[in-house]
Amino acid sequence: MTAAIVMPIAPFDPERLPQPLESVFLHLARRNESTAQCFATPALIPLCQGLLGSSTPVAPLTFDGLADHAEVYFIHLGVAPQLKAFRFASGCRIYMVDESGGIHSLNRALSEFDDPELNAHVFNRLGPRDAESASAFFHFPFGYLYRDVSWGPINAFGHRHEHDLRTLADRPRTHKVILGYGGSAAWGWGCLPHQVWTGVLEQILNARMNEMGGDLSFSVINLAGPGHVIIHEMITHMLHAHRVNPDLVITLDGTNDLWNGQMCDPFLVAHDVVYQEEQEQWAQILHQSSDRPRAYAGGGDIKRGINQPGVNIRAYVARVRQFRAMIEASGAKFIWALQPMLFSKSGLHRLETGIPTKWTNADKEIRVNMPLLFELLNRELPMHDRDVFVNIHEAFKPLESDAFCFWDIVHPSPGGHKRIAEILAARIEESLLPKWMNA
Amino acid sequence: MRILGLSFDYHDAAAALLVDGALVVAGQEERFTRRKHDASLPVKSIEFCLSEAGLASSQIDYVAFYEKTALKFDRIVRSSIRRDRAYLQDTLASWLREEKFDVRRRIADAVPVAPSRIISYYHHESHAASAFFCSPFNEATVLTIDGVGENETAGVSIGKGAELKRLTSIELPHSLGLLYSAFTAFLGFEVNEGEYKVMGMAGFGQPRFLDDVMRLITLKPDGGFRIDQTCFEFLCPKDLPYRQELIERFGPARQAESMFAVQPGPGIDDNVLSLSRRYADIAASIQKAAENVIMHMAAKAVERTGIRNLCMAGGVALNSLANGRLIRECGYPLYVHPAAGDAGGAVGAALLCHHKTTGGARTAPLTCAYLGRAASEQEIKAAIAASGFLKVETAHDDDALVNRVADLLAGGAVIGWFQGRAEWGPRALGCRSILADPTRTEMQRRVNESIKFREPFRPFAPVTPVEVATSYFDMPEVTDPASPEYFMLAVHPVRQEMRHLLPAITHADGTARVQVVSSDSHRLYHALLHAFGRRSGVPVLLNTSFNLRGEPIVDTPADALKTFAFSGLDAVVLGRHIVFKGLDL
Repeated sequence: MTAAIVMPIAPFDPERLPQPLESVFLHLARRNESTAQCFATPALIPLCQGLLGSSTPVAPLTFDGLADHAEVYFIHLGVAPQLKAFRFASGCRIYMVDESGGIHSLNRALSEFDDPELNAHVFNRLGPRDAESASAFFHFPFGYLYRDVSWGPINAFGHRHEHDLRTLADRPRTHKVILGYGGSAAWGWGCLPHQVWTGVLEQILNARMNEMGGDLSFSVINLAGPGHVIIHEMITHMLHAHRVNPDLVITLDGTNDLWNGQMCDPFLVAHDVVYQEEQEQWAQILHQSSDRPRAYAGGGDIKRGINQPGVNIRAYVARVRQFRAMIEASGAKFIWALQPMLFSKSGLHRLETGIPTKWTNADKEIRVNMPLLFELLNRELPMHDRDVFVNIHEAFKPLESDAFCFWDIVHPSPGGHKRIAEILAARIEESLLPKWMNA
Repeated sequence: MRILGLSFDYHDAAAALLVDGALVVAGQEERFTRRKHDASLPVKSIEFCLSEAGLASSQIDYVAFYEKTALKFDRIVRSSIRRDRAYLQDTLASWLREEKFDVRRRIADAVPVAPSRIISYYHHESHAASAFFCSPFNEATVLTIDGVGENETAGVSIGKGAELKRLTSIELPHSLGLLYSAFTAFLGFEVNEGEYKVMGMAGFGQPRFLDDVMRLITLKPDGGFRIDQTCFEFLCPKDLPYRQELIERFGPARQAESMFAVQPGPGIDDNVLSLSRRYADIAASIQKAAENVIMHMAAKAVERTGIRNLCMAGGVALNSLANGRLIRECGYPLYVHPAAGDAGGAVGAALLCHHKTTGGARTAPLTCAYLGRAASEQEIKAAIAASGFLKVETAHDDDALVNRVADLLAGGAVIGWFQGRAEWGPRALGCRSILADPTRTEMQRRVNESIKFREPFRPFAPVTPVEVATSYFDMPEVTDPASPEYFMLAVHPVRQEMRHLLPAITHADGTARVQVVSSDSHRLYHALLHAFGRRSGVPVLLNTSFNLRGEPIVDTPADALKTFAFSGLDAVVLGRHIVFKGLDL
């Protein structure tokens, strides 16, 4: 039985279809399933057929027409299909595919079929199995339990790479390994594996080396984790990269530290400890102490910053310096990239214009403060930090309404990742490549 | 007798506490919750009032609420049931969701008083009381004008001693406040927030559409007015309070945040100039029309009562251009409540309760708007220590402080000035202010764009010692400590010969919303003005509220330091401590 792909059931912007379609075909290809039958409502068949081309026939969608398929992918671009109206084969795997290409299984517990590394170690085995929780439950406390296979495979630790890091210890001198850290934006939320900045950067650097006729090769390994603040990045580095001896470490971050740093316990922030604010909820669950207020509870239903901007930035910078010192002490180079956010751009693309309204009032002050925090950081950062600082937020400022770069206020689209990778590649080429080539 | 006055559930929720007839403390909820125009039950304001007065909630004798909720809903039902059922349904749903029908229970949950001691007064009655009973007058004509209360949109009362009697009222849909708000929306600004921007924009224009606006208004011989409803939707407004007909008469509405410039410059093309001039002219026209209506109402009301003392409240009473004309052109002794909008209703309701319900003696005039929260030295030091800023100077006395700050201001620094108790009402009057040198031409643009991140066309107000005010501004001498100029509630022309000295506070039309200060009203502020005058030759400062665009005015030292961090301010003064930029990274 082939898979069925159900096109959006309501009129849609044609520019939004390629990403979820590519994601579905990649998903099928990973299991060596190359054929799929596409369906569309009769009114949308001409549009879909035009977009897919004549080699992929589009059949009219009927309530019984999906019953012969073992897998059904519904592409959801705003109007959700009423699944109850359709007849499905027994055991059919049903997926909802969003505009970013995120594939979410709907009707069953998560298994190794969807996430082959699901049971690789005990902490994963003890984790949740319902699809919603397993794909996005809040991480405690080091972030390594977060698992999300919506945009492609992840390894046993939730990272988006397929390397066995242990084998990289004895690589040739000409094989340069770059490790990338950060939160969900750096992890590549909303992007397929080849679209994430680390993959694009690797491609650019290797292509550049081919052009130059050099003998270097590059592996850029993504060790980011959704929700990670820089303390998580350091812990991840210690846990996973201790044998790698990377040549370069890039942190692409800022949002999670400065967002959470507004709400975390002032005592801890004053000691440069910023954490995912939701982790206070874990303490309440573990200790059954929900009757005691969390740090930001004084703000009521509105999340209000409870730490001064200067202290928040100081905590972030202090940890960046700590990470930098750790990396440079091991002989590697360090790049600190301040990630861009939607507000970094001067104008919004038409696919981005609806984003600001999706954010609730509850986050308003925290969100509104973010550009101010980024500007304050840039203004106050001492010279001795700037030699490793790449302000990608600043580099995004000239981008206008013709550049589609974000799915939401923080997660870059493939176009955004490509720009990030290009900026970092330029920096590497300028400051590191000559030294590496002459070494 | 302790009477707590409350206003909430529309916008600008507030609490005010009267102890034996004296207004001892008042606070607006937005300052505490940091949500601009917060309309929710003002729990934090109540807590603040009680704590400031050292009272437990059980010690409150009466709670006075500023309007009659059932009548308000009755008006909504009557006006929408035949016109727009969906609007009625939406309104009903929101009222149920927000428990607006249950005001008494919600109040009782916050303040444990017997239901019989929770008393509601009419909305415009509360406004009138806030104006008259806080005024220095034993008898006065009282004019209240706003968007709408229960049914009333404006009214005339007469106040004598402890008595306040309603003479006439105007009801929906005839509302000057809503008319002004409709043009506020038409000009691309937020209703109930952007009215000041319309006033600012008006200064750039000529009222060449005045006749067109006045054709929408019929002034009645009795002082009332009627508004042609063809262009407006005041009864059941959904997205916008105006109709297509307004666009047909005045052209396309201005897009929010669109560029506004009336002088050529980089990036400004002819289309921007032409559109901006047209919108400025429309703003000038609605402003002039509003002034005409207010002057007409005032003149007829005074004629009817035979009392020239004039008290005003309601949101429209914050129209400082109109107030200036009432003072200069009509010569009325004028009192305007400093929080003339709905927040002031809390004070008015408490005063009504004092005079009408408990038979209390006539209250003293409100000559000081510093009724909010103060910060202790300990709180200031703790906030500075937690701010991450490195460079802090502490003056050993007030003289040293004002001299150091005057030096900084004269050197071109823009300073956040945080002193004593916060102001009651929307104006920063030298306790939560941003101060700068008004003699520098670039200062207006700098403070608008780099400090407050707001539209470059917005004007700034000057502050000057009362004894020299008439040297710089074309205004009658201010002799009464309750005069509108003490509360920055009147606009006057900058003297022609002084305009070149004060470029940053002289608006495009040559006016300024001047605040005067005496050594009695604010000793430190007064001393700072003179200290600055000794350095610059001009004892006038640019004074604007200490906040960023879209934020409530800062309330605590922590708020002030946060705003300082995010803004382009050069220093912030908290008590005697001066904090400079530069983080300890």
